[in-house]
Amino acid sequence: MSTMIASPGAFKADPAFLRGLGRAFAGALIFALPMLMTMEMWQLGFYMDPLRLALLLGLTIPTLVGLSRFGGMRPTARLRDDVADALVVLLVAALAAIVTLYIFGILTPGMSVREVVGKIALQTVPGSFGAMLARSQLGDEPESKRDRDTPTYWGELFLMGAGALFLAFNMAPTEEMVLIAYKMSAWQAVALALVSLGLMHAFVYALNFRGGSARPQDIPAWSIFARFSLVGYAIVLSVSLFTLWVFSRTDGAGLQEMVSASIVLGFPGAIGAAAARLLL
Amino acid sequence: MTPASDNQSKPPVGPQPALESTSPLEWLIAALGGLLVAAALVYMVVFAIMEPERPPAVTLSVNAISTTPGGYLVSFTAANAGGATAAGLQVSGELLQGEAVVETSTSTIDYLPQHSERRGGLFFSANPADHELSLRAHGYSEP
Repeated sequence: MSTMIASPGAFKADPAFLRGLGRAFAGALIFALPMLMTMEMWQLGFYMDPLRLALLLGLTIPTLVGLSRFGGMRPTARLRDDVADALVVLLVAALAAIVTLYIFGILTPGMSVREVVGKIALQTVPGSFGAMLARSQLGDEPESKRDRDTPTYWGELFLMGAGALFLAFNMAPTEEMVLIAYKMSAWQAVALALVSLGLMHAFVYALNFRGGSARPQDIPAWSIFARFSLVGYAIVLSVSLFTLWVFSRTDGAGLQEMVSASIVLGFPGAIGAAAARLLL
Repeated sequence: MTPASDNQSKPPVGPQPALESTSPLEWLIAALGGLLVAAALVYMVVFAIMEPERPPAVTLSVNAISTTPGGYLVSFTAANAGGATAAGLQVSGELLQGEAVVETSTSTIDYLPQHSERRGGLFFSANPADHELSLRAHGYSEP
C-alpha cells in the first residue's frame, strides 16, 4: 500500500479531486432533490423497517463500486480505487442530505436519533447514485474515452439493474404506485407490462448499441430481444418488487396487488434500465 | 514547487488517459464515508435487534397557555416512548367543570415517530386557567 504512506504534502488537495468532489455534490443534489423534497421519503426514514434500511444501505456500496467501474468519478486503476470512490460518494451524499434536510427544517430538535439517522441514511442512497453518475453526466471528458471499457454481458445486466433501481427509487416511496395498481384492471396491467417491454426493447435496440455500428450484424434480432430486453425486464420487475418491499409497500398486500404494483413501478424502471447505458 | 509527488504509484502515461490511483486525501475522505455508513448500518441493525415490537406509547404535556385574538391557545407536546410510529394521531383537550365538559378542542398529528416529540396546539374560547384541562390521545393508524 505505497499510496497510504503519507509523505510531506501528501494530503495536499489535488485540484482534480476537489473538482470531482464538487461535481459529486452537484450530482447528489441534482439526482436526489426530487426525493429530498418528497414527504414520503422523510416519513419512510423513521417508519421503515430498520433492517430493510440497513440492507438497502449495505447493497448500495457494491452497486456504487460497480457503477464506478463503468463510469464513476474518474477512470480508476484498481478495484480498491472504486471502493474508495464509492465511500467518498457516500460521504458527499450524506452531507448533501444533512445540509438540505436541515435547511428545509426536516431535521429539528426533539427528533430521536433513530428518526434523524433514518432520514439521512435513506436520502444518502439516491444521492450517492447521483454523485457517482455526476462524472458521466457533468464531466467534461469526451465520450470516446469513457467507452474504453465496454461492459460485458453481465456488466450490461448490472447497469440495467442499477438504472431500474435509480428510477424505481424515485417513484416507489409515493402512494401513487399502489394507487395506480388499485385503479388498473388485470388487462391494463398486462398491457402496461407489454408496453414497458416494448419500450425497453426499442430503447435497448436504439440506444444500447451506440453509434449503430457496435452491433455485430450476425446477431439476430430475437437474440437481442431474449438476451437483453426480456432478461432486462425480468431484472426490472425484480428490482421493482425489491424496492416496494424495502419501502414496506408489499406488507399485507395480496399476490395480485404485489404483481401489479411491480408492473406499475416496472414502467419507469424499464425506462431507467434501458436508458442506463445512455446515462452512464 | 518540488516534484515530491512520489505517492503516485503509477507514472503518468503520455497520450493515454491516465488511470488515477487514490491519493491519501481521498483515502481519508473515503475512510470517513465508510465510517459514517458503517455507523448508520450498525445503528439500524442494533436498533432492530434491541428494540422489541412495541406499540406507540403517547404522553401529552402542556407547554404553555397563551391568549390569542380569538380566545386561548394551549400548546402541547406529544411524546412517543413506544417502539412504533403513530400516524394520524388524534389529540383532544377538554375543559372540565367538575363532571361537566365545558369545551372540547381536537388536533391531529400526522406522524409521531418512535422516541420522538411533536408539538401542536388546541384553541379554546373559554379560559383554560379557569377549568380543569384534560389532554387525551384518541387513536392512530399504522403508517
